[in-house]
Amino acid sequence: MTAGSSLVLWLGIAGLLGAAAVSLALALSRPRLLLTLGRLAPARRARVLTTLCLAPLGAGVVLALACLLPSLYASLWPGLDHCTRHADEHLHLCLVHPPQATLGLTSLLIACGGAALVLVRAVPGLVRLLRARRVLARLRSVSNSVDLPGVRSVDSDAVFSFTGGLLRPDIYLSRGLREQMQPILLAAVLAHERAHVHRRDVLRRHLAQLGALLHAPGTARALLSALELACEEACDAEAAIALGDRVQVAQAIVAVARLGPRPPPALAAGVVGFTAEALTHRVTALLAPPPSEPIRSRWPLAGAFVALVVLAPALHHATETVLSLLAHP
Amino acid sequence: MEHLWARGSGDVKSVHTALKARRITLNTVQSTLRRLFDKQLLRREKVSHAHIYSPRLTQPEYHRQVLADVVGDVLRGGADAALSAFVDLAAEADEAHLRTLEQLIATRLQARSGGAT
Repeated sequence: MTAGSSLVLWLGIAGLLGAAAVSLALALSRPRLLLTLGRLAPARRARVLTTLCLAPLGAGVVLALACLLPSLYASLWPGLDHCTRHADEHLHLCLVHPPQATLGLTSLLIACGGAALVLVRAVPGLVRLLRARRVLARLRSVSNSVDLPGVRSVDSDAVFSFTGGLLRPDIYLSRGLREQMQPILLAAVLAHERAHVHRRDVLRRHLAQLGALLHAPGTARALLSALELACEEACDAEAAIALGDRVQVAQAIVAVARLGPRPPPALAAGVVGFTAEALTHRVTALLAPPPSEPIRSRWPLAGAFVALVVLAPALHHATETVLSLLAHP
Repeated sequence: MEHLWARGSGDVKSVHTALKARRITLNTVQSTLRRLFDKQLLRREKVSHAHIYSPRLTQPEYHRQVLADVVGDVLRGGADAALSAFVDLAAEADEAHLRTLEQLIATRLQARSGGAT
């Protein structure tokens, strides 16, 4: 094994450990976290939940990069090179002095086990996505474009509307919906779907699902459910602003639920709890005064970057110490 | 299918002649017709040494069937991974639940019109 590939492997294990630590912290704080997030305005809640879904993945990547920062400092200012001060057996996460230690059984198990776990969990989602793309492509081929840009009509008696597609989403409205809904309520449905398109919610959900692969299954389910509800509420709120009437959007939700398709009993048994609760939550949220959305600031992001640059040497040393324990147990 | 819908029926050679501009081989046409027969989209009868294929459904009937299949797939959740629905397509909305929500909306509207007068 070359020194370069050894460095990449050790950085991968460091990233995996960082991801596991964040995932564990979020799993332990989940009940309180979700309760706190419930108080945020929907659009902000959706942003925070997306970030939390991606947090383990982000933490792994950031930790791996942070581990390399001190050697970057050293290559810019040779006086900062600290590797010579390490004991010989200490593992070096350094671009200049790559680690010599080979993977032991423990580290090999962590690397292979982690990668296998993520792959096994990714397969069902990938199969669902491929199937969904196939169904949507067929639906697109049998639907017709209408006068409104980005809107397609499906010649079906069933009452439904949705936004479908990852990168270039379209809005699909059924003939049943257009014929049975009052124009004023249909406008609310369209405004809601347009909000999904411009917020890129389908893509956002996908990225979140990808990030959630590194969470514990229970945490992943809870975060993704909360994200789905937050996205729907954010689109309800945007539609209400576009129309200038929150009650109109609430009326449209109940009207579509009343006219909409009924699931087979077997399917309903598995989803009724969440969907019925979500319906009530959306309607009552629209009937209540809108929560205030704070002005977005770039300062937290800048602060996190500065903290990363300053704390990089400490993170680097702590990670080296943990990895040394794995290399020489 | 479009050729057979237009002509009513045809054998492999006649379909191949009609599709010559697409530069596909006789074998490709033969296997495609056999697959469409296996999928129950075509019926066939043997006349002398050749199979004569004809569509089982008219073009509008076929499109209606495809549409119904796709919409069924969507409503059963087959495309959930790539869509956001206005109201969850699998949502169970029982009568009592909906009536409670409608009552809430009616109360709100009443309060609003009361406040306006």
